[in-house]
Amino acid sequence: MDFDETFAPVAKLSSVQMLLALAAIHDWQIDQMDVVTAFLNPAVDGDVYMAIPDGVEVLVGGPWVCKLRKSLYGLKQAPRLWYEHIDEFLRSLELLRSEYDPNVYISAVDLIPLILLLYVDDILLFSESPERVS
Amino acid sequence: MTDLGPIHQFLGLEIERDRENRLLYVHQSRYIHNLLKTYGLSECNCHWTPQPTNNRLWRLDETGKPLDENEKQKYQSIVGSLNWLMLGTRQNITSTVSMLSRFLSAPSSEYLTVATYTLRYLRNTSDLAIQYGTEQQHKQSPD
Repeated sequence: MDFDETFAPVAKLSSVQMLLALAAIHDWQIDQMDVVTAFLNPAVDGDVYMAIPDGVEVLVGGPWVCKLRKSLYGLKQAPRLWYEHIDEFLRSLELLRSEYDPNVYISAVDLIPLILLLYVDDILLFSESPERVS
Repeated sequence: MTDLGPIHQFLGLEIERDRENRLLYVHQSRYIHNLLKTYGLSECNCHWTPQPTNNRLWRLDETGKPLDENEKQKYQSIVGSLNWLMLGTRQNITSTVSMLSRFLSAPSSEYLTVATYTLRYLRNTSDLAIQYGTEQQHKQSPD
């Protein structure tokens, strides 16, 4: 096997609790989002091949296999690939990853806080003003 | 990406807000009710303490009989669920959970009884919530 990292990204429960407390005190808005079919999004970083699924007609001259371009559910490294994918995307939005919990991202553009908490494909957004969420 | 709007629950933690008073409540009633249903305790008699008040829990294994494989697994599941509740919103069962956890690999029948006792306590108190907010705001709240 040629992959090393397979873990799934989950935030610490204490981060969730702390952010809920901050939201209560500062009257922040808390919005929830989830990412549909999250694990299908990232591209595969190495060469991964798959047997042709049952029911798929294949040209003569085989045997053939599929080479994966994107990640699949059930792939051992899928959670890790997903995390790298979403991490890159969030950083491109100028969100800063917390040093204390790699699943908490912070932005303070114009001194208005926006905090994002990632739990695999569940996302919580803590913000002062609803407009910034978009 | 689907926007689910304002938060109502996350990881099974149910969240209710009172933004006017800057208070936020977190509870796990639904989780508790599902747990009780799983073990057929939805209509059970209730207790007001997380564990029995009279016996010395550390010594129970001297008298109880060992559980068979099925019951042992049931015990382990119950303690696992109690552990999740403890981490989420029910820190008040920590002492009981920690005691029950010491016997996960070789529980006797009496420990299963105590674990069930804890479930009966939870049935009585399933709507307890953790309140987040500031002290000052707390004083202004009606209760």
